[in-house]
Amino acid sequence: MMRADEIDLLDPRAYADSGQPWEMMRWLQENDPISWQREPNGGPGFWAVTRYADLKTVEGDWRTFSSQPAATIADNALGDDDHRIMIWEDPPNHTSHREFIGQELFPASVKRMRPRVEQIATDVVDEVIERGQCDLVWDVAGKMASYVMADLLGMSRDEAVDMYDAVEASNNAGSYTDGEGLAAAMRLAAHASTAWNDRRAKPGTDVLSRLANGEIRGCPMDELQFTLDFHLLVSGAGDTTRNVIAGGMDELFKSPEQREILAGADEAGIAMAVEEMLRWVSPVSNQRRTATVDTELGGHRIRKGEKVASFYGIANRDPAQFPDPWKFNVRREPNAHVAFGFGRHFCTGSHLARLELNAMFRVLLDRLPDLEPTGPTKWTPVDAPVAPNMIGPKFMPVRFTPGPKSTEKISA
Amino acid sequence: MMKISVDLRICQNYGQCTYAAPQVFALDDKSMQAFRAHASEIYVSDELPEQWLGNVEEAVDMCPVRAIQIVSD
Repeated sequence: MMRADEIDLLDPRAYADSGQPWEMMRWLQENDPISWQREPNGGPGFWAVTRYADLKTVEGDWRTFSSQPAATIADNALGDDDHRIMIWEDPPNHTSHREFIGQELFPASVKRMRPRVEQIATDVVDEVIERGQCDLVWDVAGKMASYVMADLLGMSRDEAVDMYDAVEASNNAGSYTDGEGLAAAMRLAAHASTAWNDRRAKPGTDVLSRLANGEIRGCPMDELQFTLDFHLLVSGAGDTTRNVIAGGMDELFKSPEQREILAGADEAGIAMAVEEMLRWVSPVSNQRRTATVDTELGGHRIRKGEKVASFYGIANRDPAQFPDPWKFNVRREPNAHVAFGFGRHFCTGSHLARLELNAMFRVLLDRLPDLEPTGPTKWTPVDAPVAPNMIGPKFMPVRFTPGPKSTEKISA
Repeated sequence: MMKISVDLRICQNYGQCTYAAPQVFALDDKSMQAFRAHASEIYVSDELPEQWLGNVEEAVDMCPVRAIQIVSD
């Protein structure tokens, strides 16, 4: 039996074994669904939202629950009054900024990327298939996410891979302004600076060229805003997708009967399974809002200025929304999960993410049908300095019957 | 029988409805909600077959900005 005073959602040790502090979050959802939680490093504390309906209330009402000054629980200072991270903005600025950043990520553009993304999934598996073993997290899931990002942003695969550690460290350090988070942010800033100079001097047809030479609300892009947009794109494109590929496969290893269902699945069947993996893994732990007025939520008085953080993983296991929520069910329908968030800040990259996940699982199921673990999946290290905000397996040793590389090229 | 209404002043073309109920919702080749060709403020559909209800309900649930409603006569 868990006691309320044992609960600390931001204790990094709670993320070591199974990715997320499921027991604590489940206790809160059942007993104290809008719960005042302590915050490390002298922060004032925050309300933790663990039920699906409450999460939608908070994320669906940006006037009451603002994304400014930050959507992370810690008050990170990035940008200034004229330069903001798009997910830390409210309408109307958020609306035009999203429109500007998102062009290549909107459905019509993503549809055209399909042959490219399918080719990348094939290439990624080609890189391991003759070996018969690999680390599924890095060699497969991480490369898939990195290579697609490289393609989208017009950078080399090597450069995308090189940024990968920095993205992960920056997403999980808690703070961007000191320690490892700062070091990672500096590395990303160096990549951003190179990209800025390149794309300004010699614009290509990639997203970064368009951003570097574009304007938002009539204001020409400058280097600081470009750096913030760059940071958002690379942090959104990296370990989120990777974590769903790896976390989804981890769960298939644990549920052989579900894997059997999936083995014979057609395109629609895989798409349905991908939605369940999104629900199950919920790679983004939480997003914070800040009350703009005194208000009420689930019987609690929330005061102006207080932080309210919604936890996606547990909201996606709310029995009021999902029958038998702790069952991983690749045929779950309906499955209106909130893994991509809800409201104005619904993930801009969701269409590309779905395309990547579907392409990757189709290739993995087809070409590595006997893929199996050779050791335990490793999650957040027990000595992590702060609780991660992007959650997924860190290491998954696997083996499979080696096969030949693909000779077919998927034509665009 | 049922109809749906979509408030196109609220809709931000997130496109989630097209996954939930592809029989009903589509985006055009500019990623805009296809109903925009038929209405500028509130679009009301023709009668939709009852067997689509489950998918339509899912679309209502998934819409990030709650722009979709089921209208029963």
